Amino acid sequence: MAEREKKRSKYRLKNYNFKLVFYAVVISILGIAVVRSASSGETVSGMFSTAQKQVMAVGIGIVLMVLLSFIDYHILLKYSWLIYLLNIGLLLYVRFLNPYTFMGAKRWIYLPGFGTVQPSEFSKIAVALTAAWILVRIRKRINNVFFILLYLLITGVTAVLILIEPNLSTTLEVIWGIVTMLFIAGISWKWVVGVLSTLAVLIGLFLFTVYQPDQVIFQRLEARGVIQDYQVDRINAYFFPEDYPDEVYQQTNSVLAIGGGQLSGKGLDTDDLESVKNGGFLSEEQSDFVFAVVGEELGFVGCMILILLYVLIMVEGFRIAARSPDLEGKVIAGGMVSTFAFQTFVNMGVATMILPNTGTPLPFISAGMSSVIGSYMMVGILLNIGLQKSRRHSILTFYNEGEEMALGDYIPVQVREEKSKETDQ
Amino acid sequence: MLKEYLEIFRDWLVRTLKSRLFWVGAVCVAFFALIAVRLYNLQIRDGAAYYETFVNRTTRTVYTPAVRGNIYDRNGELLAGNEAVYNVTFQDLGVYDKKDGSYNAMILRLIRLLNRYSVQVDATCPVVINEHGEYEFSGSENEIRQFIRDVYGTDLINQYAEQGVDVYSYDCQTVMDRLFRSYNFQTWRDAPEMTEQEKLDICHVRYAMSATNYTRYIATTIATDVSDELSAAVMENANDLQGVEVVESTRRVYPDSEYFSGILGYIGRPNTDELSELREEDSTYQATDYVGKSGLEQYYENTLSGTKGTQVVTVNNVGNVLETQSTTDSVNGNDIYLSLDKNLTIAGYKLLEQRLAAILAEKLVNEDFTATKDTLAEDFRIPAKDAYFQMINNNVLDMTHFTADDASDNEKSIGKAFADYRDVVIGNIQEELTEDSPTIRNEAGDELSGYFDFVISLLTDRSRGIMPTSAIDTSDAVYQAWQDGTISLQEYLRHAVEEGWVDSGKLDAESRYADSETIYSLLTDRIITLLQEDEDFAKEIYRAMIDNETITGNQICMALIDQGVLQESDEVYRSLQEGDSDTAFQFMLDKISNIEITPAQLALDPCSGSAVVVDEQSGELLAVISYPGYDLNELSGTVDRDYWQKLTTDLSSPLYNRATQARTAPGSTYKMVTASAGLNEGVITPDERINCVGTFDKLDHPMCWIAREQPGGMHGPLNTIGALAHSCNFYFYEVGYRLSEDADGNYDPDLGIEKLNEYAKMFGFGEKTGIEIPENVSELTTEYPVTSAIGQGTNNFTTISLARYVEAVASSGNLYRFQLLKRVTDTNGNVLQEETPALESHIDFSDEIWNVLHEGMHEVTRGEGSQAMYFEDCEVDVAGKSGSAQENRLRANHGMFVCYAPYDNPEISMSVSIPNGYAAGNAGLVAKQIIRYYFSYLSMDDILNNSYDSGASTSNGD
Repeated sequence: MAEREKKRSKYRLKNYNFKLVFYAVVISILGIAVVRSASSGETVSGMFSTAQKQVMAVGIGIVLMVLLSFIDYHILLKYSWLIYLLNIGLLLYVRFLNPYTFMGAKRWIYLPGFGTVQPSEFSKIAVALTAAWILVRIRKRINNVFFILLYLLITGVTAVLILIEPNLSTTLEVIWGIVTMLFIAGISWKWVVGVLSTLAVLIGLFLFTVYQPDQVIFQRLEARGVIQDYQVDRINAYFFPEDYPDEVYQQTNSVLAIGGGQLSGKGLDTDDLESVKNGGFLSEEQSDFVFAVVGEELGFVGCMILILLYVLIMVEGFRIAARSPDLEGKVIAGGMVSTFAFQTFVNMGVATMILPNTGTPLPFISAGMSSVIGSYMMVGILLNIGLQKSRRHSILTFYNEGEEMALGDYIPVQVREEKSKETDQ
Repeated sequence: MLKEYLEIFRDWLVRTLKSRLFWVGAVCVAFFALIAVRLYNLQIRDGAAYYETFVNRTTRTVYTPAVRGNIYDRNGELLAGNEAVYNVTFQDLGVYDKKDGSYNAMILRLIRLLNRYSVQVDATCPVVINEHGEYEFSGSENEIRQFIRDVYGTDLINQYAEQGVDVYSYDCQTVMDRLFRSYNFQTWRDAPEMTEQEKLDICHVRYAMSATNYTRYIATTIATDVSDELSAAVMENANDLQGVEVVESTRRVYPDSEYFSGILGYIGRPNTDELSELREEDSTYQATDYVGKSGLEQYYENTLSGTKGTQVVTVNNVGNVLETQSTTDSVNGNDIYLSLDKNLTIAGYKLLEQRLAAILAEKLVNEDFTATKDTLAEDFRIPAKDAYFQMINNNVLDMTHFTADDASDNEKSIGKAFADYRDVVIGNIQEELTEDSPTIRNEAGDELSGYFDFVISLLTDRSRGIMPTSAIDTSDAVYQAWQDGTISLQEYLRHAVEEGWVDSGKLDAESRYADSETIYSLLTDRIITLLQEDEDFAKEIYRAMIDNETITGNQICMALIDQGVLQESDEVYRSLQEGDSDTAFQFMLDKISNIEITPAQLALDPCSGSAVVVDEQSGELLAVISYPGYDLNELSGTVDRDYWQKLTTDLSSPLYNRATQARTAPGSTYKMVTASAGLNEGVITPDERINCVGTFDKLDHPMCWIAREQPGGMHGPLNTIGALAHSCNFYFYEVGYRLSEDADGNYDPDLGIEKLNEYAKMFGFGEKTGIEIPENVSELTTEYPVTSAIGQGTNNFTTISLARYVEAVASSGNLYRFQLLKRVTDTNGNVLQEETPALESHIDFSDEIWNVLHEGMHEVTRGEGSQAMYFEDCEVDVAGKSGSAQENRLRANHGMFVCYAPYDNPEISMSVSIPNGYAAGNAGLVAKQIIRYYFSYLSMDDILNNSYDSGASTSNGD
């Protein structure tokens, strides 16, 4: 009892990051409004409209966020193996056992009356926890190939299972998370430079293949059955969109919608007939292409405000990561926040056609229980990491072998302050 | 102090750069910066342009068709007009859900409503339900392929093809099952009981709708020409049938089109080429429009078509109209009036047909007759068996019906006899091809050697390409022997196989490298299968069976009654059944005389004719008649496929315009050209007499017709007028010869040709007459000035150019540019344009020459003139010139007549041509009756009842 009292007393209200909560809630409210507009033409098939479901999702998300914010993330870490297995199990279930297929993909668990749950949205969190658990244990041998491979293997299973759903975008997000966490955990710059230069060469080769006259290499590969013609078409559709109008139909219309929004947009719920959304030219306009509606109806100003909110969440996230009391916290927070940012970028990049078409929800905005709840759970965990910083014993883990410190910017100052404060007391 | 700050800053910078989170954060910020820049470009820099692009993309112009202008004759009689019809259209407004079947359910409701009024939806899928209730493809191979491509989509078809599956070979049921799936039959909740036909009908509608998948602002017509009752019923049920409308539309109608078929043309959907051509003029043309496809409908498309109405609308992604921005009404097309006289045309057409029938009836004999090269023109006869055979050969009788379930006993016995006979014939041919002692061609007899020839023609047929003529070495000795008839079919074909003339790949894909023996046996197998299926071979067999009376004329005549071609009493039928061959002959003769069986149906010589009547004063065309005609109403709008097939295979070739396209040697009608050349060049004078002694005394001694007709016959001395009156060949040979003499008196054929053609050109030959419909240019002669001078040589003229020529003679030199258009008015009758034929040139001869020509032509119909006997009872004084020409010694002569009337003060000029019409007099008789009709000595009633004295013609005079 006394032990519990002691722990609880360690959470100080002033360490509760209300700014983060505020940003998330503001984006959510904006999201509900946009989803409501985007789904205005829908015929309600179940009990609730998409906008109502979104409100519910935000409600559930906030509750879970608050709950998680008071659960010590070390407890989550302790049970990360269970979370890991649960995650793998769910992914296996949706892919191989669950009969629910939509548009050729098996990503969802269908819950009658409630809707669908997409386990891969939660995988991002599961992977962050698993990765942190492993990285802390291998941090002294983090540059050892064997351990790197081991790390990649264990975390990579998730990515593979999501890839075969198929769900390319979430896979990329998970891989992005895995890689950034390895980086945050302090892998040597040599590895970083090596991987980056290899990537640069591969990209160069790829571009050469694409822009080569007659695409001889593609033709050869196609003839040998290494790649399928529809895959080549996809690639070409990205580089030469005007030749593949069908492949880029969604994106072309999304760009038209966003571009047509101009400075201030056509207004939420516009009844303007010259609206891409109202003309029915958008597809997935409540989920993957919700940003098109944001662009069309809120204009450049609205988009900038939204981006600003995302950046603020990101900044708060990284601050929490930087101030995290231990490597685990730093890796979890850094990984989750960077994944979050990457996902946002992919969504907006697809909607504005700087990236090839791959569907992923816009955090807090896109309609979808799993996405919204997942995002709030992330905030919940971040909040807890933020609360944990007074725990002194974990400060030791800031230091890596052979390196002075591989920590965030003003953390040492912060630590010093903490120390001084404690001595003051 | 500053140093300290610098220290702190340095410390901070180092730590920051060393911090991993900093780098991750930096990358993430870069992401957002990239998006922000992109958004700036999209929304601020190019925002207006994107907005514009989008608005353009969603603004559509919907065209409402304009009413097409009418075509009238010179007296305002309607030749082509529009009839109001009601069509049922359907537009997918997105009200009905496709997935749960409510869309299908609504279509089914509509189909059942239509069926209640005995209306079928327009068929769009090339699928029918056969008698066993199974789905079956029906339509051309292209249509079926297109259909399968639409059902499966090219991607899937390619995918299957990679796996070696040919989707195009799927049976109809499989394709339909697939279609049912795509059309949500599987997910259709509470689908009612439906017949297969109803399911197919739903597919017809949905397939039609698929054309407007992304252009839903366009309504699709699903049933045409429905009754008022049905319209009312549809409107009553409007609530249950949202998107369904009954719209008034027009259908093009051609009253009495048979007489104007080659002139008016018809309308239909433009093909891709036509569409792109039309769009150059007017970009509002669409593939669903009806445009002029031939004749005047095509030539005056711009005048007739009017201006479409427009509706500018905003549409959504699937083309549903969100709002209408503006509307403009359509403007009716202009009406056009032709110079043609409808009644005169009908009269002329009937008179031509009646004359053809009279010739046929006169020449029909109940005995065998085979023409040889030496057969005299007047000895040509038409054996009745030819007439019987033509009933099958020209598809007047439906061969396939002989074996149908509802065939009469008579038909069945014909069918049975045919089947037995064919088996024997094919058995014989098989023996010929395989047995050891095949028959030499020359010894095979007419029937068998005919089959041999047929076998060869099957193999060399271009579309089959089994033994392409190009592969045959015509210098080969065996080939020569075959041509000479000294070897057997078997020997020839075996040799062909050995020489590689036979494309073995066409026989069996695996046999390309097989040995000769294998290829030969495959070839014989193929020949037998082909013979069993080939329709022409079946006709060959009927030909033989009718010739050897295995099938009698009586049976054929009865079959005509059985199949409803003729309506007769049971008594007549019984008399045919019981009577002998004479009964059948009399019956047939009677039907031909009464035109119950038309010359066109018979398609024997003669089966066609043409006449062109010109207003002498103005050069306007009063009648351009081509027999046989056809029904434009069947071709207009959507072409009736069966009818089109019938027309293209009709042996009387109705699609060919005899007045403007058919060319024949002009024969003696040419003699005014020669006379004017001779007179104007001064090689003869009007009074000089040339002594006809029957056989021309120069060159290779061509004979005057009189000498050929009666040995020793001659005209004696004739001047120009007399030579024209008697159509003396000798006289004109001499003129032709003199025209060919150079200054030194040497015969130079080129000079003669040059001179003749110079004058022929003055009269407008060698160029188009200007008429707005397709015409062939009359070809000028290129050799033999002496025979060319009597209209032989290689002169090859159209009837219409002869009319222009005789008009020029009648008017003493006015050569007009023909045109059918007389007046254009707007839809309210205000005259917009008046047209008269332009005077293309004036032929400048002395009055003396014109007088000689006129008088000569006048004499033709008077006193001793060559056509006097036909015109002696004519109330109108006619100047004319007959012409007959022989192009094929085995067929009857062509008959032609050019004339103008009245002689003193000409009102009309005319040319009449009856290819293979036996004698020029037949054309003369037609001309006479047309003149009598024109001057009201013959009533339309008399013509329609065929109750006038048509005058007989057996004479061959020229």
